[in-house]
Amino acid sequence: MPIELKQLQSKQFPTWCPGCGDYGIWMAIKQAMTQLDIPQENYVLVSGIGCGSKMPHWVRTFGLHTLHGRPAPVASGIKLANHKLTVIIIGGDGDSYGIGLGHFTHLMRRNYDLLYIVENNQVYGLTTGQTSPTSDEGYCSISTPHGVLETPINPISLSISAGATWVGRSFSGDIKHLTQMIMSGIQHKGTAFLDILQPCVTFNKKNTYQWYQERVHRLGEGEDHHKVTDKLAALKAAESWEKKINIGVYYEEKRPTYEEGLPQLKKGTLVEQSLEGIDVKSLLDRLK
Amino acid sequence: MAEITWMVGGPAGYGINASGEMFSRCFTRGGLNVFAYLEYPSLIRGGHNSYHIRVSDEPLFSQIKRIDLLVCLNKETFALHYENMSKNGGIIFDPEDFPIDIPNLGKENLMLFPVPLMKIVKDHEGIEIMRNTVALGASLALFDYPFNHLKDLICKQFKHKNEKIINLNVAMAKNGYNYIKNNFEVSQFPHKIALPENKEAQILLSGNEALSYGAMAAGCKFYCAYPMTPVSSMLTIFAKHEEEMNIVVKQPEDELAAILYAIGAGYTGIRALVATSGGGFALMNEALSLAGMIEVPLVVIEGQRPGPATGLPTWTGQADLQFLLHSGHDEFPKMIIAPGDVKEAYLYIQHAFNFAERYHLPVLVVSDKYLSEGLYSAPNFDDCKINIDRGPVVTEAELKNREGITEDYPRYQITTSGVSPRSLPGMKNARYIANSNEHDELGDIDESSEIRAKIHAKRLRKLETLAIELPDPVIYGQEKATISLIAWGSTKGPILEAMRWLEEEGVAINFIHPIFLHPFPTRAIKSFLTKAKKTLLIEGNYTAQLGQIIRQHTLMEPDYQLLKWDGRPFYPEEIYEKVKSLLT
Repeated sequence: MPIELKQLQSKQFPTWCPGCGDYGIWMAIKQAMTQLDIPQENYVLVSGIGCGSKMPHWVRTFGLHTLHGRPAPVASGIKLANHKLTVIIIGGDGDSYGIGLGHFTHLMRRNYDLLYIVENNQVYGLTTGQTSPTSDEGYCSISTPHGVLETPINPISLSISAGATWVGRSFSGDIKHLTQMIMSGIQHKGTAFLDILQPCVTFNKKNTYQWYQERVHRLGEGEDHHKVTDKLAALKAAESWEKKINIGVYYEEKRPTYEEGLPQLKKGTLVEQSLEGIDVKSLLDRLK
Repeated sequence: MAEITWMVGGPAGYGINASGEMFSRCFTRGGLNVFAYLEYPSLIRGGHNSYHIRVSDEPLFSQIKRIDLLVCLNKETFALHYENMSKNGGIIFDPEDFPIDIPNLGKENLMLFPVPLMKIVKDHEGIEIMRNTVALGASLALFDYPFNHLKDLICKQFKHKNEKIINLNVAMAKNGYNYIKNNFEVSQFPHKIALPENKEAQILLSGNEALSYGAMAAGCKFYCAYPMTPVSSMLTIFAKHEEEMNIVVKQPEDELAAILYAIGAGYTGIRALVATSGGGFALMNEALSLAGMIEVPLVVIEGQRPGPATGLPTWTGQADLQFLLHSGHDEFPKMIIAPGDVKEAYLYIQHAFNFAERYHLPVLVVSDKYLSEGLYSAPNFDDCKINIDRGPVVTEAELKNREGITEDYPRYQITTSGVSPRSLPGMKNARYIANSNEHDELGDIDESSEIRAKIHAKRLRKLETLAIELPDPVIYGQEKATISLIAWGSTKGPILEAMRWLEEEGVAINFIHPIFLHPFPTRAIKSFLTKAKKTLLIEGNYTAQLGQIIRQHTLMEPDYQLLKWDGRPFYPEEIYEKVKSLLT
């Protein structure tokens, strides 16, 4: 039985600023859940720390609000313990491309069956507006008054190069597209990575709704014949930013998941295994 | 008590480790007791490795300094160790490799056994590393110990190789054995150990093996670790058995990830284990605090090695106790358990999982290089299996009663014990949020002073509840003693060994060995110190870290200290000497 929207409603209302891009993501996650046939108790939302990482509080599923930069390994442990759960990681750009970049990159190559959503607003909001790893070069913030001197992280090409088997991008101003992308990401067998362009209305005065709206382009539409299985084309599409930002599925490949590679999980999840009657005597006898 | 000691030394990469283990097993298979300790620098080739092995018909607790027979695979071995040779001790060396000139060393009673190790290897078309095998055979011949166990062990070790290789290795050992028998009067070498009659083979294992198999017996289903000496071998042990025991083993990108994976797994409802050393544990501190906050059961093994920083990576020490005690920011309940030998390691790792799941907290199990990599013999662990207790988890019936209730499951319900039954993801009507931020009973963020005060106290109350059920530490030795010792962890072994010698001389001595170090057994320690005439604290660190804890909890202080921080384990000789000096 599909979940009804009201079942996902938690008691509190989000504490995001009015107009925050996170509202669109919030709505799209819930919409996607109502359209998929997955029991509510089987979802686990695992988040980092930041404005958007408060998401698990406002979507009524099991949730684990971890530490800054650390949701990926926690989610990995959950998935290995009970691979029947639908695990969604939610973090921000600082969380995923800054402090948690090591975990992010390694997660992409492992291909656990889960979805990683990044709310990418190119700024640190919760700490009042410092630069982020995806801030545009030259971006002025309270921590970079003379403009960012570094080249921003390109999460799309990074994740493709690292081995992600489904890479997409969407825009929080387009809830319909976003809902579709979240559904596809959840349904993808393997690690799906979804970068979401998300305006921070309070601190990022450059990358606004209007700024994104003028640039977003849906991959594979009109004259664009983007092939999602073409890795080089995907990397090329990921290079476009200042004038045109591609949204949609950049890249997709079929590869066995990490869980499928573990013979120990063939009989069922680790959680389902009984701890009764475990005997290590035969192992100890081999130490003679 | 009949005993022999043997040492093999040579450069790294020359099979010292394998030879030491094989030599040890020749005797445990015969039902004898063994203690073996490997010393090596942190490199793969070169340097100096030595395996020091002690064999006896009585139980052994530690190594001793004395060497009865020394196998020198290079000249350095002789130079570094001849001073510890016993009277009429024997030296096996290759005269074509280097000469040994006794008269200049002031050790006239040494017995030289030149064996052309390399020539024997070449004559039989072997390779250089087989010198060890020749020397093993030669050693057994000198001790007058039967050859058959060595032959069986070689066959076992090379069982996946072809018959030619097995036969070649057996022949090498036999040639070494025969060379001694044919060229020397073996009966003149006085150090002998007889094969006992009708004794069952013993198992021989390291602390890491004991911890690993104990964890498996306790139902550990997930092992996650980044390699780090001295616990690296646990990763290999778990990986070797992962399929047969249905365990998932993961080597992630770093120690941060290792503990976070385990937290995720523990949250989901399985028993998860992490092992590391001091440096890796430093990285884990952030996540340890998370485990404390969201009340996830977790077991972490910390195998100490000397620091600071990279320190002495392959040596031993006990200098992380205060670090473990204060690990993770702010206050949250955690346990520290320090087993003293393999039997305790096997047993208490099982307790660790029960405590973690019954009280929903991280349990830190402390080892060190000495325990983790030292080899101990034991008859078996048949009496060391404890019942698995999964702790409070919400029942199906309780969840059924919650049907239609719109409020989340009160995972962090305030209780008198501090423990609140948990629910697991996938359970119906059981939703809650495990929250790194301060939270209310449902897990929702709450920064009010009232909730913070109540929930923080609830978490810490768990430790007070837990402390009540902990047994008092074991006291070894006499009820009435002229001197009383206090120590923790693996130092237990050398102390028990020294106590054996002192008791034989009529010294009334006892020793308290707290295994549960946090919560601290204040009452028992205070009572021990109060009754004692003279007290001596023995620790492998500079600042007397257990001593600080004792003072903190009892306002008492041991009278004397024996501290050591040179990366080497305590030798019973040092403890014996110290005690003797305090008694005069």
